[in-house]
Amino acid sequence: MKRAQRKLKRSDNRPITLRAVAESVKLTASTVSHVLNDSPAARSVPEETKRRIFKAARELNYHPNFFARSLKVRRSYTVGIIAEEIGDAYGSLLISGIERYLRAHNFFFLTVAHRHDPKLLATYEHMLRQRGVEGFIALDTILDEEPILPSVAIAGHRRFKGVTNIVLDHRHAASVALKHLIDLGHERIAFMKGSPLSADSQDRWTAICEVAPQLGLCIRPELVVKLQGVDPTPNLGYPFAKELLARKEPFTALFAYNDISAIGSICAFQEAGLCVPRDISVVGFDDIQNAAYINPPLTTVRQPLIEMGELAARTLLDTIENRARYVPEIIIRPELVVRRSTGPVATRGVCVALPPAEADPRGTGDGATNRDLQS
Amino acid sequence: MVANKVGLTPGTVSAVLNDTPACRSVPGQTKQRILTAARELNYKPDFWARALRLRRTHTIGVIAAEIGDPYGSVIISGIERHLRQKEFSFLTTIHRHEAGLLQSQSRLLVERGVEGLITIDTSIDEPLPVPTVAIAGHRSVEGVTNISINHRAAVFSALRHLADLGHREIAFMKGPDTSSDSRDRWNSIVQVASEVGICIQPELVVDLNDPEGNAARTPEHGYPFAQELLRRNRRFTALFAYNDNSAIAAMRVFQDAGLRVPEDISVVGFDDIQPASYARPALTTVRQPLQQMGEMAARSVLERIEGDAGYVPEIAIEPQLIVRKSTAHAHAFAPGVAFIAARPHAGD
Repeated sequence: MKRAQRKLKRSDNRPITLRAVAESVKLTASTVSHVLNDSPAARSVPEETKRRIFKAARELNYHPNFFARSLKVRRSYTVGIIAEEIGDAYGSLLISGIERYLRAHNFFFLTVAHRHDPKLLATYEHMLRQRGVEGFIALDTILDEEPILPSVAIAGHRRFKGVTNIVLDHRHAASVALKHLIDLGHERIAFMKGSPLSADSQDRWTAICEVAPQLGLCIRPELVVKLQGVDPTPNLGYPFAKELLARKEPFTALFAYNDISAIGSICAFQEAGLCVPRDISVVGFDDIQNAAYINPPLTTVRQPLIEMGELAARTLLDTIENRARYVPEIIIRPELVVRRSTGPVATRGVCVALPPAEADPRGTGDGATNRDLQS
Repeated sequence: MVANKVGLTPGTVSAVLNDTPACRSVPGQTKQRILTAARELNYKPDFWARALRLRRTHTIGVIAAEIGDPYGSVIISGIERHLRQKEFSFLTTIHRHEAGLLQSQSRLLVERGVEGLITIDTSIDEPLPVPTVAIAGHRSVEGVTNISINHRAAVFSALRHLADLGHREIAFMKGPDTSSDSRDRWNSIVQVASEVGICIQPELVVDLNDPEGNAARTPEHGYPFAQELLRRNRRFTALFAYNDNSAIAAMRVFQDAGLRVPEDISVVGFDDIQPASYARPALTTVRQPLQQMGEMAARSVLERIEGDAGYVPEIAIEPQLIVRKSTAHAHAFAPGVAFIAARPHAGD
């Protein structure tokens, strides 16, 4: 029976109205409306009647007309999320936090991923606005112009009036990571700079350059590599770690751009017969879920991604509903999570990275890992 | 209003703002002017007025167990990719296996006019009022298209691989009751095992059940179950885990207990989530093409919405065994687990 009604509804294209439900249970439309909307007036309606109404609404496939209501109050209770990617650990955890907060406040969200395609990005804002979103949350996305609607950016980094930026305290991040390495005796530290496509790259690098000299650390250009591309897998860091080794400049520690590139680097080091952390300590950034489960578990700067997502959603709803005054920036202080990929610098002097050909037997068995990473 | 401001006809302005084929003849500079004016005037075509008129929202709803994990998020990424090409958008809601949430969320989504639904790792009890496609849904509900892995083929490839390597004493991790894939997978294992001459020993089977239903969700939650397996002190040379997360957990626990993977124990996972390829050793696993499954779900639901295709109850995805470094020949003289597991467990 349901099937037939659905067909009927779809073919004549007319929705089942509240009136139709009321007629079927022989009650007034206002009673039915009170019950279905659970308004205070429904309290006086007997339970049995309520059940009858719900049953009829279900059977008739009645849905209160959200659009008609939205049109009247000019509200959609929907926000738009513009993300670089949603299938990776970074974006998906942020979205998970956003979802949690929005659902608790009866908001929905539309999601778009631009995967660094500027053409898509340009159309998305328009598309989402057409669909009536009340605000935007941009994740790892460099906005081109000031958005018209209330907006919150995570890792956005261009200042626009009206956009609240949720940013990490990059100086603090660089400081805790580098202090940790210096305390372990490391002086020759290699760095991976982020790809220019990632919104955080510039800020993170600037902070490192500011903090290093304060800690008495010299950044050697020959120990700096710059990531390229936007691969969300450890492939991102793998070739650049190899490049670092190929330069044959000794180093005892690596501060990677993020966890994914740190994991790729550890693979490259291990394939070259080096032991982490005995020969090279590695520090990541983000603390994605898998950072704890790789071998060795990764020491990393934690971005509280789920909490940052929740904070972004809360800030946006506060702005939309005029509950809080606009703040241009909210600073998140990250913490260092020390696991097993960092250790004291070897006492017998700095390690010289061996080219893969001279690697120990470990290297021979790992061909497949290499292939996997490159496939 | 926008048309007035730029001194053009509403038809031209509408063509440009809606990016219709007719706007191809409009010079680029004019387009720019129109777009700028629209922005300055904060013009927003009334989506709802139109939706109300056409009874179309070009929106679908996605109901998933979780989005913050490498399983759900990659599927949703595939869904997004396909929908975007078809100029559909989607609302997402996550139930984290909370009872009751599924019902209320699907109702809310339908109220918001979604034209179809895609569910991920979600058990649906009753037919929904719009075309629905379920990924890993596993209960046949009338009107719902199930996209699921061919469990038989998946299990066969994994067990065959282990049997070929000489493994006969194989431990299993059985999925949690909350995951819709668990039962189908386990039934296939029981069936296939006898076909390839492997005897399932009850003492070598652990159930990944914990109060929160998290056992298979992160490696961390899987540790106690792998430890439990060792504590039972029964010899086994291979483990077929429920998924990659529990496989990665098991490898870690085995290694912490002084066992080598794959020399002492071979481990096979399931899913091929990203971390599988960079686990140490890299994990042999059955690949579910998650991104494509998402794209396929999106395509299938749109075809039904547009009436391009009839209802199909099931779409089976062919799995692929990815052989990496966590499996090797079973050695006749290998100590197996019993030898080492007798020692108190030293893991953290």
